[in-house]
Amino acid sequence: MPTVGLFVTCLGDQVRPDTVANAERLLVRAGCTVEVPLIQTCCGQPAITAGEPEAAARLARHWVETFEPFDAVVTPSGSCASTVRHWYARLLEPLGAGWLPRVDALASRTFELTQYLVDELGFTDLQLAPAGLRVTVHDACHGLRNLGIRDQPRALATAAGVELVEMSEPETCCGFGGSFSASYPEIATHLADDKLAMAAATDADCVVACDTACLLHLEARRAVTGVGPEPVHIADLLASGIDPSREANEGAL
Amino acid sequence: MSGHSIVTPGPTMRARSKVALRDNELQAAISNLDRRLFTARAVADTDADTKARAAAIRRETLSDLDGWLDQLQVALERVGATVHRAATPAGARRIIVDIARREQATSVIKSKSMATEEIDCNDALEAAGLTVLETDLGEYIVQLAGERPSHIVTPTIHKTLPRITELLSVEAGAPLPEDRELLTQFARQRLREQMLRADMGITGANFACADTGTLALVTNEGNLDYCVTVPRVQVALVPVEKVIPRFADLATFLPLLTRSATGQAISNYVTLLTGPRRPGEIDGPDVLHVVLLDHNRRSLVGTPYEEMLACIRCGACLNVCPVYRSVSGHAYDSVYPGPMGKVLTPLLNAGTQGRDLPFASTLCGACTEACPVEIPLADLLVRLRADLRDHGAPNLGTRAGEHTPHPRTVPGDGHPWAAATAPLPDRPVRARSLKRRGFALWARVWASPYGYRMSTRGARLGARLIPRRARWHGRRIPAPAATSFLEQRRREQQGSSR
Amino acid sequence: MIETLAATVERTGTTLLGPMPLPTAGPAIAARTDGAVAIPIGDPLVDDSGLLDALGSRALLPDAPDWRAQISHATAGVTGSLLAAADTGSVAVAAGPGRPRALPLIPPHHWCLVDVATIEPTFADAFVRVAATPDALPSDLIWISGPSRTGDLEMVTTVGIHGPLAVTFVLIER
Repeated sequence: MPTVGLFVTCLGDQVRPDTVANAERLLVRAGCTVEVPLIQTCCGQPAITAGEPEAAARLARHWVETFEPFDAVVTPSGSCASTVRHWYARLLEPLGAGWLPRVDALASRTFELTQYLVDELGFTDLQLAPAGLRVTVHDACHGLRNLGIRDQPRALATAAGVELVEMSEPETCCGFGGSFSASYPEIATHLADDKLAMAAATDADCVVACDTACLLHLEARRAVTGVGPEPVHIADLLASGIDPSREANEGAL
Repeated sequence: MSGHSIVTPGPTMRARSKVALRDNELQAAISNLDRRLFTARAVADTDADTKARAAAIRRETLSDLDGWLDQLQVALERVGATVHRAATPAGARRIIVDIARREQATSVIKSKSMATEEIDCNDALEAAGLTVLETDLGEYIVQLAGERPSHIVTPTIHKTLPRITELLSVEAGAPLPEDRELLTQFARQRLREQMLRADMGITGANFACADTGTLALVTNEGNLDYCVTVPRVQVALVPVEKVIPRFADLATFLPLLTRSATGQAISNYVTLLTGPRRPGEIDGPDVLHVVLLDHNRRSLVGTPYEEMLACIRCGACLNVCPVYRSVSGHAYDSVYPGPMGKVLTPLLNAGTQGRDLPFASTLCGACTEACPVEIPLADLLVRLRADLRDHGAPNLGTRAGEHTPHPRTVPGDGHPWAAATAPLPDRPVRARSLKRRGFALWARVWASPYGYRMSTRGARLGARLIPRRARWHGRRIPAPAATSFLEQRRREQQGSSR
Repeated sequence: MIETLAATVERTGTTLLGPMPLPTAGPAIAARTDGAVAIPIGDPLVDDSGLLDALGSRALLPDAPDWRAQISHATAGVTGSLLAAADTGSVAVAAGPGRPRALPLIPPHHWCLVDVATIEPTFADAFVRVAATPDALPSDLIWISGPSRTGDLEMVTTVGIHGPLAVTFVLIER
C-alpha cells in the first residue's frame, strides 16, 4: 500500500481540524499508510486568484518540497488539489527547466480525497449509521471543473447507504470564490442564498461537498437566515459510519 | 436616439451590483435566462468534436491573422465590395459617416451588431444628421428606452413584459395590451414602415470567409434581411477576428454558434452575402462597404491573450455565469458584459476601462466549460488580475520562459495596417503597491513552517475576540478551531516520543 | 426524408403541401392565396409550375415598373429553392436576376417550391453541397427555417416579427 502524504490545507488546519481527522480516518480505513508532514503550510491559491503569481510561487515551491517524498498526496479539498494540478506547472516554470518534471510528476499523484478513494483505490466499503440519511450534493467548482469530481462523492455516499437527492443546480457556484466574497460580498451572499434555497427544496438532512471553503461560506449564511440543511463535508459524513471498535483494533489514531 | 443609460447605475461594478440585487423587477426579468443555462450545458456536454474542430480553425486563423485578412480583402474586392480598414473606433465612425455623406443617405436601418455598439456608431450618425433605427426587436426596445443592451444575444433580458409594453405604448401614442402577439404585431408594422424607406443599412457580420468574400449573418427575426434588401447602400462593420479561412468552415461554426446561443440547431435565417447586388438584380444594395475594425485586437495575436480572439459571440458564458445571472449585463457598464466582457473590455481598451471587471468573478470556471471554442476564460481572468496589478494594463509582452504559439505580425511600411495601428499607452510597473507588498510578506511568512505556525496562532487568538454574534454582510464569521490540526498532531507526536 | 421533414416542420411552424407534380403546384398556390402574389422570373422551379398562368393579373413580376412600391402590398411571395434540410426544416433560397431578395421576406406568406430530390437529411449535408461550388455563390443565399420569430419579450418565442408570418413548402415530385 502506498504512503500517502495528507495535505491538511490551511482552512482545514485552522478552522476544521475534525474534517481533516476524518479524512485521515477514511484513508486509513481504506488501507493506506498516512503521514502528515508537519512542515506543510499553504498551496498558495489565494495569491494566484489575487493576481500575485510571485507570492504564489513561493508557497508552491515550499509545497512541492514538502510533499515530494510521498507516493501520493491526498487532500480533503478539491480547490487545493486543483491548484496543484492546474496551476503549479506554469507557476513554477520561471524557477528553471529542472522544476517542470518534478512538478508534473508530483501533480499527477496529487488527489482530492474522494477522487483518491474511488478512482485510485476503488474503495467504497462504508456503512453509515444511521442509514437512510437524506443527502444532497453541492459540486464545488474547482474540483468539478478542473478534476472532474462529480461521481465520486455520490458513489461513496450511495455506497454508505444514504438516500441521494439532487438539487436543481448542483453545479452552480456557491458564491465564495475566495477574495470575491470579500470584494463582492453582496453577490456572494446572494449566491449562498440561492444555493441554500436549492438545497432546502430537496428536503435533505444535509448538503455535502468536497471543499471546506464552500461549506464554511454556506454555513456562515445559514447561521443568519436559518434556511437550508446543514452543510457537511463528505469526510465528516462518511467517517460517521466508521465503526470505532474496528478502528481501535486496527491501531489508527 | 442613442442608448447609453443603464438600469443599475453606479461608479463601480460593486456599486452597480448592489443596485441590481436590490431591484426585484430586474431579478424577475433575468431569471428568465435560467433556461439558457441548460442550453449551454447541453452544448458543453454533447458537441466535443465540433468544439475541437472550431477551436482548431480559430487557432489556424490566429496563426496568421494579417494574412487571412489580406485574403479576405482580395476576395471581398473580387466580388465587388469596397473594403476599408479602421484601426480605432473613431476611425470606423469617420469611415461610416463619410460613406453616408458620399452616398447622400438620410435614414439608416441597423441589424443587431455588438461591434457598432463598440464604436458608438449611432451617436456619430445622428450627429451627422441621419436618422438611425434599430430593427432587431430587442435593440429597438432598448433604443426606445435610451439604454444599452444588457446581453450580447438577448438585448432585453433586463426588461419585464410590463416595462416593454410601457415603452411600446409610448411609441404607439396609446396604451397597448400586455400581450406578446399584439406587441409583436405593433412592432412589425411600425418598423416595417420605416425599414421600407431606408437608404442605408448597417450590419455586422458573424463570420467573413476569406476564400469567397462571403459575410455570414444569423438572425431569427429577418430584420437583417430587410437591411440588406431595401437600402441602396450597405455597410458591414466586421471586427478582424470574424475572418474564417473557408466558406466550408461555416458548416462547423454556424450550428455551434446557434446551439450555444439559443439552443437552436440553426437560427431561423442564415444569410450568406457575397458582394452587393449583381447586374439584373432589382433589390439588394448597389454598394457594399466592408469596414474591418482592429481596435487593439491585432495587438493580442502572439500574446497569451490571443485566445480571446476566438470568441464567436454566442453568449453562452453569460448564460452560465453565476455573477451575470445575479446582476445582469448593465452592472458591468461595458459594451460586452459577462465573462467574455470581463476579459475583452480591458484588452480592447488597454486597461483604461473595466479595470475592476476581472476581479468580479468567483473563478468557478463555468464560462470556460461552456465556451464552444475552448477559450480558457477563467485563466485569462487570473492573468488579467496579475497584469492589472503589475502594470495597470494587460501585459502584451511575455514573461520569461512563457510559450508563445504564434509569432506576432509586425506590419512594415506599406503594409495596409501600418498607418492604422494604434500604439498602446505606456504604463509603468506598479511594483510597490500595498497589496503587492502585503502578499509578498504573507508568502514569505507562510513559506516557513515556523512563520505559518506563529502567524496563525496569533490570528486565531485575535479571532477569538470576534463575538459570535458578529455579522459581516449577512454572514456569521466562522470561528477558528481552538487548536489547529498540525498543532494537535505535533503535541501528540511529542507526547508519544517521551 | 419527407417524413423527417414533416416531423421537423411540426416544431418549426412551417406547413407542407404535396408532394405534387410541378405543373400542379402553380394552380395549387394560386388557389390558396388571394390578392397580389410576388413571383420571380427565371427560377427553374417556379417557371414550370404554371404559377404565372394561374395567377393571371394577380401576379406581381419583378419587371413591373412600380415593383418597389407594390412588393410591400403583396399578400404572398413565391420562390424556388436550391436545397432543403430535413432535420432543421430549412430551405436554401438564392437571389439573382429576376429573383429579388424581397420575395421570401417582405410579403407576409412565403411559398417555397422544394424538389423532394434536393432534400438532404441534415443541414450539415445540405451545407456541404452548397460549399462544394463556392464560385457559384449568389449575392444573397438565405437559409430559411420557418416563419420569423423573436425571443426578446421575456424569452418566450413569438412568431411573426419582421419576416413572413407563415411559410409553406410546396413539395415537388418530378
